[in-house]
Amino acid sequence: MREIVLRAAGALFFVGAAFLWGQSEIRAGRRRIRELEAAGALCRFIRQNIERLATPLPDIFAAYEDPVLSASGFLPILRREGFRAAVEGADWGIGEAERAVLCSFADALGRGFREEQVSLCRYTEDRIADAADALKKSAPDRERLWRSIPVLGALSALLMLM
Amino acid sequence: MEAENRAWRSALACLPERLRRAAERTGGDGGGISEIRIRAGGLCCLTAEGGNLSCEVSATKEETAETVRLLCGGSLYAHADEIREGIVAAEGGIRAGVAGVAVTEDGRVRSLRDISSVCIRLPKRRPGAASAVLPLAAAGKSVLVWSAPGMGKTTLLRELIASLASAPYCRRLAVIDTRFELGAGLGTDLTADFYRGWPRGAGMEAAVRAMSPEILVCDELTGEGDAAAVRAVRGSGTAAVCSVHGGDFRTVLAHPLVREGLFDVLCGILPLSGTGGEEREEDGRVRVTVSGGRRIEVRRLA
Repeated sequence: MREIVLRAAGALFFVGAAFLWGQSEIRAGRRRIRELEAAGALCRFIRQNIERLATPLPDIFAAYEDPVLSASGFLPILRREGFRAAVEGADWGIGEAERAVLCSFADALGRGFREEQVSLCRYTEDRIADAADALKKSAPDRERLWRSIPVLGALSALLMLM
Repeated sequence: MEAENRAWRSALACLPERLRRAAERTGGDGGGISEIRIRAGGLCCLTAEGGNLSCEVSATKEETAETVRLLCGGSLYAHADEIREGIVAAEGGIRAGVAGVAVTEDGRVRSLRDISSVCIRLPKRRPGAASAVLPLAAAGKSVLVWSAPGMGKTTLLRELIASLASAPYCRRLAVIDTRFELGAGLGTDLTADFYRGWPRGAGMEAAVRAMSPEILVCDELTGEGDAAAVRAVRGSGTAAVCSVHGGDFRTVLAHPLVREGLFDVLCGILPLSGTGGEEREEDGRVRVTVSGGRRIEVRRLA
């Protein structure tokens, strides 16, 4: 009897852990999409300010507000140390490829005249939007996979109990 | 002295690390330094009391470009018009002349590339520099300040603005600050409206139409467009305080705006020759004073 109870508890623990792991991965995926969309919106804001008003970067950074980028610590670092430091120092979940896109954007930002800078922003916006779209498209399948893990875990536990 | 030191610190902040260290070594706390000159592949120098001090380092092309980037506050595009004009206005009232390869279109400079030389000019305050002409300007006379380049026209205009736009005068001033230098280092508690970055003609037109100033101040008039704008300003009944480049009195007297009688007073800034130091009246219309190592000649035309 004691053995069965221990097995059931172990199986429950196993299923619970799998469930939490799956949920955390789902949340991370959604967060990554939100952060990519926020980074794209920031690039768009920068472009519009450069294009219409030729606003200096520190003023653009000071004027921008976004809860997603604030929560990751991106905006405070951006205002203090600049774009590249923010990309590298923020606590966010974007992937290496998107990080590389944002780093090369940071390296060229502010170093050219208006037309070049507008083109640079547009290019980066497109790359970021593509990455976000790809993630969004694959999100339902990925989430289904993560949700199925606890079910599979439960089946495994049942088999073990039997 | 404190303001001078602040300007020096601001100028140093616009230099890449290696050049900053060299300039600091040569210029110390910046006392008496008026310029920092950076040349790609050439010797970096400081200008102090009219003389050149070598920093004993050569700037690379990358360091020169980085200097321009820092002067532009990391936003080159925001200073594109200034770069095209060959002068960049930076934080702290600093302005920097830039030289490079001109990109032209239909004979007009569209942009500048491969910037090879940068001359960072530290803002100067010389309280009292405008005292010779201040009472006349305050009385509503139109004044044309003239001198050879580098003699202190902008400094005199800046001090005139500081005095006219504060107690006891508190005149309503509109300042066409095309190159961001007339307002450099001035406080904010002035009765002056600054048109920063505006082309002179458009700035004068907008200022008279929108701000109804008592006195309009504009630096370095050049060309017929500026002259037409000054005519419009004077036609509206507004007094004008302007400056032009001029080597001698006769050349200035032949200036179309002077010939048309648009200015009541000519104020020449000349190098000091012979002895001097005290004020003296050469005749009833001309007053000569010596200030800051310059001979200030105020000549009333009307």
